[in-house]
Amino acid sequence: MSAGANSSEARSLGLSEPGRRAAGDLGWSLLGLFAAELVLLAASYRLNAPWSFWLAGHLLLVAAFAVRGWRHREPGRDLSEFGLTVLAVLIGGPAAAALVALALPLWRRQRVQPALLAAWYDRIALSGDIDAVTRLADTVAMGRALRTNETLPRPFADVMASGSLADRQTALGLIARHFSPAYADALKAALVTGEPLVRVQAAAVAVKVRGELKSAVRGGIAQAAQMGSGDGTAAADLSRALRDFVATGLLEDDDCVAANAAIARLVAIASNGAGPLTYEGAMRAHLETELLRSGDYAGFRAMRANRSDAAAGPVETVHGR
Amino acid sequence: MADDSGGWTDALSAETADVCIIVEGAYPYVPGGVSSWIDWLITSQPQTSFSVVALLPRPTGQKPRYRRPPNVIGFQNVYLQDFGSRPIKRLRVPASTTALAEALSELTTVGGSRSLAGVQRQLSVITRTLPLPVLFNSPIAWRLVEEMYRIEMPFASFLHYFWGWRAILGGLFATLDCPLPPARIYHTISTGYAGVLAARASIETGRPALLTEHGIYTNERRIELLMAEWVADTVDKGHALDDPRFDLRDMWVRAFEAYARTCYEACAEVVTLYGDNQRAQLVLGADSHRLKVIANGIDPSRFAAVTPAPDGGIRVIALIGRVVPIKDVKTYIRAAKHLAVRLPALKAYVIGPTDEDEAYAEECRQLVRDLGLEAIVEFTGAVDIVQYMPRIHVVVLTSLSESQPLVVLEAGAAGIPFVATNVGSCREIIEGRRDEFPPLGRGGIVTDVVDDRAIADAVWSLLTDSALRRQYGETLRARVTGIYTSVKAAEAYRELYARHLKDELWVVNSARQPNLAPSAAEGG
Repeated sequence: MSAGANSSEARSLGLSEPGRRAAGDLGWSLLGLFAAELVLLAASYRLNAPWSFWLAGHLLLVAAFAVRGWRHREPGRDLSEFGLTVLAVLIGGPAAAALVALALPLWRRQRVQPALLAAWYDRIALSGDIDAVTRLADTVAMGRALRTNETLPRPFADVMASGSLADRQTALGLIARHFSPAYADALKAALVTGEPLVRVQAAAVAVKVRGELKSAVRGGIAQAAQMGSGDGTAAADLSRALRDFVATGLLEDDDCVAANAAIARLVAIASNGAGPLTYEGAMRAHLETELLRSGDYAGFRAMRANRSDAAAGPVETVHGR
Repeated sequence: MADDSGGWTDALSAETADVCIIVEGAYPYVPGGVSSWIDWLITSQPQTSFSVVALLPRPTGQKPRYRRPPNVIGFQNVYLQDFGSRPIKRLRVPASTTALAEALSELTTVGGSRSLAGVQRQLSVITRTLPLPVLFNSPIAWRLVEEMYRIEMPFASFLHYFWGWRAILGGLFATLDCPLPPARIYHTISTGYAGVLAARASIETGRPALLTEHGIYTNERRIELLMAEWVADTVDKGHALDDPRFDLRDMWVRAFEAYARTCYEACAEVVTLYGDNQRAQLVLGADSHRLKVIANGIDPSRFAAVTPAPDGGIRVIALIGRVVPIKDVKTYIRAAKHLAVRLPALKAYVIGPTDEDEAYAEECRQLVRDLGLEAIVEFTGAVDIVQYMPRIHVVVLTSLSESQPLVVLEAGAAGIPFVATNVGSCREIIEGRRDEFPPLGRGGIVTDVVDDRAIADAVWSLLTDSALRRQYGETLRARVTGIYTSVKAAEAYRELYARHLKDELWVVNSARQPNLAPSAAEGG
């Protein structure tokens, strides 16, 4: 067996570069040990030396073989193959060295899966010495992970009130890219801030968001028009979503009116399962909500006083602009 | 224009120009406020010779929109994203590549003249044998991107970083590689790549670099990048603002900030159009001792004959400017809707070209239809505004961002009061600077941005009070004719150039007063 063959054998087994080098070294070492043992045997025979001379020489050679192998071991690699080899040559001398050198490739060929598994095991478990590729993959994976152990993000409204210029601009960027009606107050605060750089950006964000909201509301209104009495849960969800959109104050008046009408219809649908709420009742409840929102309590009381359908309570407050 | 090229030929002049104007994405190809201003600047300094370097993304076959002034002796296009794409596979990577990566990393994250000089030094070692465009597509560039990725943002996706790197560094390499036109002064009209080129010119030639910033380029890019959907978020920061992991968006923003710092540091004087801009320049690293304000000006005599619109009959308002998103024409249309409810006899003009963003113009027309304003809102296209001004009672500006809009000055010169959003120097022009003496008072009303109701209320108050309207109009006229004239602005630039050319043979011909001014009607 040659070291080159040993190395190509190792390559075919899916070993890493240091693993292939270690496998090649073991082959060369075994050949060296075999040759040294033959020389020792011949010298002992020629000199007619006592058997203890040969034994001492044999032990020295095996020790040198073991030390060399130990020094050149691949970090974190399974050493059972190397240990068994040392044991075999210790017991069997040159014959064992020759046999192991010949048997090693055959043995490794049958250990394809264990070798691959060992390589993976080395990579994922024995992470004390991580190779560059794994380190890169780990770092990028860390980038993909949200740092949940950090402090909670500050509410955008707080950032707009007291954040640095860079923070306010970054927050506005996030609002633009991931708008939620909950961010409307932060956006409105940014629109009237004294800092021109923030105000200009907020204006650009407001224009973008307005367009998106318009599409979303019109889509919701169209969806509401298709809903029937069997869509109670979906109607409740959609009415909440439309209510949130209206509350941002970023919609056109006409869209607000259409959305409010859709909300009233959706409330009626959602209430079907709960009680005998009519369309008129839902509209009345919605109007009551608007009266409360605008602070017209006298109007609200008057409406309640004239109400025949006392069963329907006011729905959640809507904050229009 | 007599022919398609307008007299512009892309050829490096052997003759040394007094001033080399460096401009990115505007003059002479894209009409607008900055382009009109450059055209005015060149024609207002007939005794000064100019060369122009136009930075563009890539060759597109665009035709110049301005006639070449006779005192422009050289013109050169530089393409930022046209740096070749054929990869060179076999090339030895020199050991100095790591040092170059570190220098580039410093220039694109920190910036400054010293960083730029460091990059030039490192590049000069490699480019002695290898042209920069070849280097950019070679294994050296691959090693550079690997090294810089490791230094700057190892948490981000490498694939995205690679393409971002190519875009940012491609522009930088183009500005470092292009031949420099010989000139005595290098005058850039923005930071960004134009600013880097001016800084490079100053370092290489020892000649002064000047900067005139209309808007704050870095802030405009920052807004664009923070809102952009095309930039992938490869680091999941949630909504945390203090997460220190850098992503592609941060890389772009940092690069533009670093380029701005480089430009501010290299420029002998940093000019802007109004005081508010200086705060932003200081935040971005400009030296307060180099800051200067030179306001834009117009030729008031062009509007002197405009008579005020009659009090009776139809009330007319107008938005004068290009129909593009930054002008927020939709808010103007919404304001017109509020007004139309209260004032049926209303006409609302949108005066300006609609061809720059056809899709947006169509959205505006659709909004007019949606709101039932077809009889009230009229898009005139590009027209001579002087012809329309005698009919207009109030001019409105709903822009999201401006620097110093010429249209306010032009309306002011015509004695028409103004309602404008609180952007750029609108407040300064309409209400006067705090140190104005004697204080002239208001020349119109300033409102919040994107607030159609407030704009409608402001316009309503002027449309329904003739005395107030006339008073505001006259105040604005007095302020504009007293401060914002093209003669004063031209004189300020003549002095600025003279200061930096004092070691040259320089004769100021004070007898030749320019009487040319840029016009908002051209597309401000």
